[in-house]
Amino acid sequence: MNFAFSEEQDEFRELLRRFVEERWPVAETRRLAETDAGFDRAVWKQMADELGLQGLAVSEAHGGQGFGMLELGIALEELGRQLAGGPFLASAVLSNFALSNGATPEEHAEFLPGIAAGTSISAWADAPGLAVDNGRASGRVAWCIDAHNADLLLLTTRGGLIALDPGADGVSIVAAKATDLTRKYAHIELAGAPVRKLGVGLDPDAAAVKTRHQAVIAVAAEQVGAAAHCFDQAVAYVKERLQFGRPVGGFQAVKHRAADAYAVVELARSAAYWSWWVAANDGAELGEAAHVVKSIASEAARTAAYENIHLHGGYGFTWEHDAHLYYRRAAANEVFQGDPVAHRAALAVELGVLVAG
Amino acid sequence: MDFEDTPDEAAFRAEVAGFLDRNLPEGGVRYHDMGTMEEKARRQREWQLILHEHGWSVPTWSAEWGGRALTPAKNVIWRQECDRVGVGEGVLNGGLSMLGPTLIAHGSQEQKERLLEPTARGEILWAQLFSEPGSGSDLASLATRAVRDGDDWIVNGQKVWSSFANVADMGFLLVRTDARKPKHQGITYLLIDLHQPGVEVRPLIEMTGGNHFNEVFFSDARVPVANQVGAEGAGWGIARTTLMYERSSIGSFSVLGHFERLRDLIRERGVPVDAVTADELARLYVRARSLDLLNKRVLTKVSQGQVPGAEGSVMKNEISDVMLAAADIGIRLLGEDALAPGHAYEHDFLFAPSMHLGGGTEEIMKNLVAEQVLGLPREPDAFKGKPFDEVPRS
Ligand SMILES: Cc1cc2nc3c(=O)[nH]c(=O)nc-3n(C[C@H](O)[C@H](O)[C@H](O)COP(=O)(O)OP(=O)(O)OC[C@H]3O[C@@H](n4cnc5c(N)ncnc54)[C@H](O)[C@@H]3O)c2cc1C
Repeated sequence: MNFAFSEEQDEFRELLRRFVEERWPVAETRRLAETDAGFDRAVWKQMADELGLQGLAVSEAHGGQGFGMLELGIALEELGRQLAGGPFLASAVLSNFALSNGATPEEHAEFLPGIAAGTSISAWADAPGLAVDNGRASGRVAWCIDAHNADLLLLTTRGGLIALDPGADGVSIVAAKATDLTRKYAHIELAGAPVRKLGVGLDPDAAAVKTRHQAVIAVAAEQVGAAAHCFDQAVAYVKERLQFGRPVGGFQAVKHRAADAYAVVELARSAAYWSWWVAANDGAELGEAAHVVKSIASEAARTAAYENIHLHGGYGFTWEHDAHLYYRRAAANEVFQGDPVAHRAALAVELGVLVAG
Repeated sequence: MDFEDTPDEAAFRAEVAGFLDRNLPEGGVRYHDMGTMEEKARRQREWQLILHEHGWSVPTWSAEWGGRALTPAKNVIWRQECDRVGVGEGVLNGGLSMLGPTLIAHGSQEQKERLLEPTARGEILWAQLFSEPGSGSDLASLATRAVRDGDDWIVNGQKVWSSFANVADMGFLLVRTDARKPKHQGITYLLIDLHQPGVEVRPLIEMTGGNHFNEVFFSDARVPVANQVGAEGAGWGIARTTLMYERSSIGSFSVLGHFERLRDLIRERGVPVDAVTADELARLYVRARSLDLLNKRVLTKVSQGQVPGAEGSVMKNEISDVMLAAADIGIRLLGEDALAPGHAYEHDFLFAPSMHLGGGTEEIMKNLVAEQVLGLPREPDAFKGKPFDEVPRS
């Protein structure tokens, strides 16, 4: 048993933290929230050219770095601290998972190099309700992350993964304002849109399940980063803010809130690192890891975001303070791919204490 | 990062499992299943001798003192395998996990040579004699006094909540040797023989209806100076070592077992659980699983030479919460059967409230985390620097 990251992984984290703090701090995320795209193409290109970030978990054969979920987890955690990354999650993570699990090697060779280079942006959504017939799809897919920024749309349907050209006839993508200001969302309307079926010959259900579990684990990594940032900010503030002639962090009620938040953040971090390891090793516990981490990381992100607001007093409740951005993101992540209650129900079934259905 | 056993760890696991399976006595060594306190002491000691013969009595101690200096990872494996067959330290916990490591760190060579081996064998059963009627959370305010008489300390006063003192041979005892100094500075750490006329142990009945802790009264009890650990007046620092070991011992209790017991109960009863209870069970599992992982993360840090610090306090509080939640769910799974004396969750339900008290209360643990891990200001002490005998006490 060894629960430590390698030296290279630690160095990668350092490098990335510096990069994100310099080029994409939360202040920048806030500025970008006012734009349609929600990201800066120049920084996106630097992410690709200087760090190879978009290709982090794409194989070298397709122009990526060939790393796995451990490195991807580090990246998501660090981006999560500043709510940064824009379409990184949609393209380099979720679409990458969907293609890796649900497309053939030829299709990998076709789509992954562009994603890895950052020259093509892809968006993915789970769309089990979509009607696909004779190479045409109709229906609505709501709240697809970064769909309006995408050059390629990937949808996981009942029959398997399909690819769409966002510019094709019958495809309409409408950017949607969301409570979460720090990520871009869009609704997709399909009216007989031409689609291409991917992964012919693969087991669509197995691919879909695996993609969902990996997606949950990836988002939980972001949640841990965001939670840790909120927590650090709250603790730093209560050490400085004086009331009654002393730092408010000296009052026991405040100390205990901090100690409680610390516990849940560290529990979530522990579960997250384990879940990355399970995913990196294609472990049999992938489902369990996804359910566990979704539950505890959601709790950590919500708790830390709330405590950050609360411990900043009135200032924490202002528009100007970043605390609400994290609070909003925490809620969005919480309901992404099944809320914690749904995941605990699935876990209870898996553990044999609840009968399915 | 790797959660699998290395080949070396796998071999170690097999060795431990093999040893336990071959040697475990009929009926096991489960604290709660071993009858009266005397029975518990007798059977725990029998088992400890078997462990000792095979070199397993104190696996975490250094090799110099009969241990195996297990790496944190192997210690996890050792405990997992012990949990699997239901073996714990029981009444020997004080000697094996508190006093032993404290002596190794702070005892004199002569004390180590004289006391460690019989402690490892289970021959000396130890009680922790720290808390007093007037000093619990504020342990450093303790008032039991000792004065020098030639080569002896003469002890007068009272301790309370002393686990296993009614079957113990010796106690690790904190006494005040200088009441004119501020409270932390006048404390001395002694090892007292409990089999002497000046010591009286009175069992206390706990809210479970059982007994494991006691009051201990000292009237002119004697402790030879050879049994003073560290310097006169240096007892507080040494006590902190003991408390750190105590908390990390509590913090290493198995947590996932609480979920598994509930699952077994559900299977046994064959009644499907409702969605709300299922959510609580899953919540418990998530917490326990994450806690188990946090423990492993801390152990990895320790194996890389970092100091464990106050993480043990996080763990102790979290384990207490898991036990409270498990008992709570257990009661509700049983329904009206939870009224019947001796039911499956009666003991856990009644015992659970002690978890947030013993070894330092929930509030004190949170203070430690906030101050020592997060660096928040210390609790104000209105009497800081004042001599002990000028501070009000209850
Ligand atoms: C099962 C069990 C076994 C034990 N075994 C032993 C043993 O073997 N040897 C031994 O020496 N002791 C033992 N103890 C004693 C234990 O360490 C004390 O009970 C504990 O430290 C609390 O002290 P107290 O009981 O005096 O409570 P108090 O300190 O009087 O606390 C009363 C309440 O006030 C709260 N409180 C106190 N101070 C503060 C503060 N600064 N901030 C916020 N809240 C505060 C506490 O959290 C608690 O809720 C045992 C206790 C139990 C329950």
